[in-house]
Amino acid sequence: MNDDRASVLLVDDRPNNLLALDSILQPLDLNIIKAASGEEALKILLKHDIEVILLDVQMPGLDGFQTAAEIKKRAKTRDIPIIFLTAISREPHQALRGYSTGAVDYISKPFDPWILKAKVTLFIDLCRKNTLLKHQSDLLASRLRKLEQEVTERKLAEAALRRKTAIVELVKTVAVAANEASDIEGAMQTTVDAVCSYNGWPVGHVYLNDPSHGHLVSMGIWHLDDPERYSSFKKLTEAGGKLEGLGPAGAARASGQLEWITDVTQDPAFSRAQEAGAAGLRSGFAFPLLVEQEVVGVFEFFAQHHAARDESFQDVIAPLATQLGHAVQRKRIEQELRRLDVAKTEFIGNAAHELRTPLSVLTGVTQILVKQHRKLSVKERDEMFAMMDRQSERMRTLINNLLDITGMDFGRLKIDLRPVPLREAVESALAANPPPDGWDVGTDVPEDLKVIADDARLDQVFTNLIQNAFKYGSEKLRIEARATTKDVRVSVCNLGAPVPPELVGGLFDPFTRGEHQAARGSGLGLTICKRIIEAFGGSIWYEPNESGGSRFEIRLSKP
Amino acid sequence: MKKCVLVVEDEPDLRRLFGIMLSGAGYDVVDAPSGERAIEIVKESLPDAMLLDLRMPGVDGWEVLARLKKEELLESIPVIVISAHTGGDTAAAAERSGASDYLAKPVDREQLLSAIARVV
Repeated sequence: MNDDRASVLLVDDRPNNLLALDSILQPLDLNIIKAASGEEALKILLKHDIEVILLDVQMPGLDGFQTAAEIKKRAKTRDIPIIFLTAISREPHQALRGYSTGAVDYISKPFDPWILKAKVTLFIDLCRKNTLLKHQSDLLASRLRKLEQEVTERKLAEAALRRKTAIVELVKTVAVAANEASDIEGAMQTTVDAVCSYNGWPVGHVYLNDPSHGHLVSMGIWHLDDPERYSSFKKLTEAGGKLEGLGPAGAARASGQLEWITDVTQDPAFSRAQEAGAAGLRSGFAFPLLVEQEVVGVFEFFAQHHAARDESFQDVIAPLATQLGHAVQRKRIEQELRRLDVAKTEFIGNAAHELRTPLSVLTGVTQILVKQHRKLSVKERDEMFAMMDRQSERMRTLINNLLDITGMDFGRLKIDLRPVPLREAVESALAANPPPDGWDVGTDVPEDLKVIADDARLDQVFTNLIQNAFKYGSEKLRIEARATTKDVRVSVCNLGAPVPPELVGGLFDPFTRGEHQAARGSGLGLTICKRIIEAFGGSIWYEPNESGGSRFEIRLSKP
Repeated sequence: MKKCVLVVEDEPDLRRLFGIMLSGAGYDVVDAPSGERAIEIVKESLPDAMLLDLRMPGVDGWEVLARLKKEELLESIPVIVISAHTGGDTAAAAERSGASDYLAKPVDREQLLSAIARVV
């Protein structure tokens, strides 16, 4: 019903009465709906918005009072004014007393049309005003709610802003520390302090991940609000323990992510649970310090309260970890550069020293040949020539090796990788390097075995290992190879004295060299072997041979 | 009678070379490839002078020098040390240890002969 006219419901069981009422109300320009019974009236009320009900009291079925009672029960219709139509002889006042609101009235039959019109007009007006009032009150209530919501939102926004500002401050603090601190420890201390002051947690601590031992070691970097209170917890932490007992820190090390434990005292994977509980600690979280996907350290924090996992910490922690990661990486690069610089200087010194020996011999030989050739016997002269030959060859090899090494150092090792038949490679290297008298040389290499390598470089490796065996070993050389499921293993082993223990650590470093009376090597052979094998994507290592002597193991890829 | 010189040098070609230089100049030459052997040989042959490489594996030249200076019989044998290090520090340290003279590698034949001639 879209028109603006007020809707009036007429309820009477007698059609004549309905007709009469209709005609009386006609001049008021109303939307008049008629019902012939109480039941019909209730049905109409479900569908239509009615502003006034004229209700005959005496009806078969539901009478007027019963119908009114139903109407008053329903929330939707409760407030609709009702005018009862009663016979004149009756006294409806008693019956009407039950209704509390003024929205109920009566009119006696036969009624005066003017009074009926006046009452209907009055109630419609009343109803409209009520509706307007209700509408305005609803509007007011909704505005109030909106206002409240705006205030709440503003408060949340302010809190978010404060939090963001705090995060920015935190990141800035750590970034400055990471860039300016002369040592990584200083930057880590700043980070621990800053995070604790940001989230108000009393305990923060840093672990170093020790890859060589495979566990976390306390760096002794702490933030403690109350050092006395946490002293036994700190002591226990620094004493170290098994990785599986580290709780959040152990989990963060394993996952590479922020790890949160709401109650560490209930965590079976936390070996410090008892001390933590005694110090009043409850929640804990840890995050890893990553440098190129590698966990280099772990930060852990503990709170006195139960704190639910807060994902937003990830947003806070991630940029900190990145900043520190950069600092650690920069430090590592600096250290590596310094190390390389020292190594290079040492390398140049060693190279010069190595060149001096053949040069000394060649200078001496030249001086003898110039100054005292008349006095030389034939045997001595032959010796001189042999020395020249030997030492110039040695110098040539040394210079080639030096060029090889420096070329490899600058990543200029030229290799052409392709499947190489291993047996041929071993046999050709052995043929080119005949053993000294009395040596027993044997191979066991399956015929069809192939490896990924550069054949000329692979020959260089075998030649080096074979010559080393003849130089430093004795009696027996074995070269064996076998395929595993993943790769190919080659072992070159000889009898004799093993590599002295003090040389094993730096065996593949430049200028590490065994002492040998007759033939000193350049000390570069194994360095070159290692670089070549690594350029093939393989690895080479040394182990003492079980039956004495040395064993070099090489791992190469299958085609 | 010919003077005898002991050459102590671990590098075989150099050892032989010093030998040829000295024998060409009229000396008797005995040699030792290591510090250990040098200490044995010096007692047997009691040479008139000794040419000693400082840098050797095992018992090095410094130790040989120190041991000689402890023994009355050997203490007076003049020792000319050879070193790859050209620094004045090595020369001064060698002199303090009792060396008579100091030659740097590569050793010049004339210098070697005149150094030996000065001490025998």
